[in-house]
Amino acid sequence: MRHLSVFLALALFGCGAGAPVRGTLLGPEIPAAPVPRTPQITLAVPSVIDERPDDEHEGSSVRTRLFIFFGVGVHIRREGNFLTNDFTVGPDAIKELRGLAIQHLTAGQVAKKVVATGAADFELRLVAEHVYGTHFAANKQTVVVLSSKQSTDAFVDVQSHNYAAYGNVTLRAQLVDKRGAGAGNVVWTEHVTGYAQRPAGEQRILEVQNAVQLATADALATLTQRVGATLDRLGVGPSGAPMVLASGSALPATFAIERMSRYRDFLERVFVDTSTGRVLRHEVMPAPDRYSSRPGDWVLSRVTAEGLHLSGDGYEAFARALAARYDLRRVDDVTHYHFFGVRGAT
Amino acid sequence: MKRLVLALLLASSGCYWSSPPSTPHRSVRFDVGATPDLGKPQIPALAGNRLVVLGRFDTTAGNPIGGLYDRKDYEVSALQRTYFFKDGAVEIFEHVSDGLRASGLPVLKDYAGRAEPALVEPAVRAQAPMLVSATVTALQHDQIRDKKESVDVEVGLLEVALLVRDVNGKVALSKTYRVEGRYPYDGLTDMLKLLGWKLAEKLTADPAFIAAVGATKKGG
Repeated sequence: MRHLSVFLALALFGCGAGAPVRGTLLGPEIPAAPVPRTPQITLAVPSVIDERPDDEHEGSSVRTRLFIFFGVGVHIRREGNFLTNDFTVGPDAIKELRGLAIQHLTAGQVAKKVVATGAADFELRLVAEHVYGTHFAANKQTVVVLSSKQSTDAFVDVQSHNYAAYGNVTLRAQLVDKRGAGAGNVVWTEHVTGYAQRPAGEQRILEVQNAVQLATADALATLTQRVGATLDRLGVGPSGAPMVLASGSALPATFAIERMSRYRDFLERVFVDTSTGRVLRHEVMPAPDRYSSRPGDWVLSRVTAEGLHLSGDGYEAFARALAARYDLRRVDDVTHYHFFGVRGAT
Repeated sequence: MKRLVLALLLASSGCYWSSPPSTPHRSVRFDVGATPDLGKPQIPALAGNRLVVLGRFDTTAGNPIGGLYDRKDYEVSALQRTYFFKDGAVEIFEHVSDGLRASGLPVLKDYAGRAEPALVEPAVRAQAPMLVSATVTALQHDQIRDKKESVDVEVGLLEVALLVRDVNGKVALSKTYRVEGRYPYDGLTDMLKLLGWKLAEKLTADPAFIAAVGATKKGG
């Protein structure tokens, strides 16, 4: 009987990932705006609506696929997904999400003031569709006990395969204009996602929880960029009041072209002397909006040499004027002209 | 103690078999034999004078985007490793755009936005474009060695909820499209490109989409 106790204990032995601890979304430091900003409006962020599916509340664990008890031994195969639940993601996750969103938007200087409640020019409505961490796991254990009057021998074979941990956050975001006649108009809707991957290892549950924190930070960094870009397009964004070129006004002495880096991390901006076509200055900066244009393509920047943001009409007028000397064509991107150099140079 | 051990022994003896997931959370398990070949995309020629603005796709799909499975020879699980790709929806967006252009449709991409009617700028608004917004609701790319197959295969799944509107926000089409299929591994074919082009093939063959963007079939 003692032998049976030994192998039953071994057979019922868990997968060794450690006991889960209470989770929180509060994770990495919140970055400041990568470029100087001139916010123009106020923004309110009401309570986040929780629309996570039931399985993300309940969680899941790796389950037994096959269990065979065969007299002197036990063979167990386990497989499946660890999925966070309300405790391991954090009982206050949805409240934390709102607080973190306000902190990110404030640090990114998207608005003059970002408030939780009260009157504001715009309202950012957030619905949490997914907030979870997960990892796949598979292991098998075989225990055989061979005993005689003289001795007891045990054969134990344990094999496991660790997989990376993933964090997933999906927010459905809506920006509502609360100003004047258009009050209540939804001007932008987008699913904003955040993802993270952590290495496979012994501390699997902890890594899954880290991945959720990183995915949350990723989603909120993207949210900050997207809200800023939307407000810029409306002419009230953090790039400042748009410059409007009056019809027939003299061309600025300098214009800028830019291209997005391959992985959308950096924006390369080159300032060109309008009359000679000579390059005056070259800057590389963190991309203020990583989805603003196609990586690798040179486009006419919507920012002037003085750092002023051009309005839609201003950009059109600017491009039309430059087109007399420079080859600018709208070939791909509805918000940018592609830049192909000086006319007749190639 | 004896009784306790005996009770445990009786309770746990015999054989127990269940079917827990053999794929990562939110991934589907492909039956390779039952999955159709993706084939080469065939984009029909369309005639359309109306500008189409294709908004950057957003997504509700999760990560990992897929996995490498060896169902022929494994010790613990057929799943060997999982794959992470953050910008899958944007990649699909690029390829769908290329596929739509191949049909002859005049397509411009709205990278900075999702072709939101409220955000269309005056110069583009004046052209009265049709605005196409899309959300990727499922995206999966697996590499599978299956014991019933003579060659390794790549298997993909793409599901997109599509919305076509005019600049005033009037909805011309709201429909979900799904592409699912396999091709033999050759080390050259880009699965996301193929899925994007197959989606473009579906769109350009769908009379509802053709009508929604104000186009017609060439010669038809």
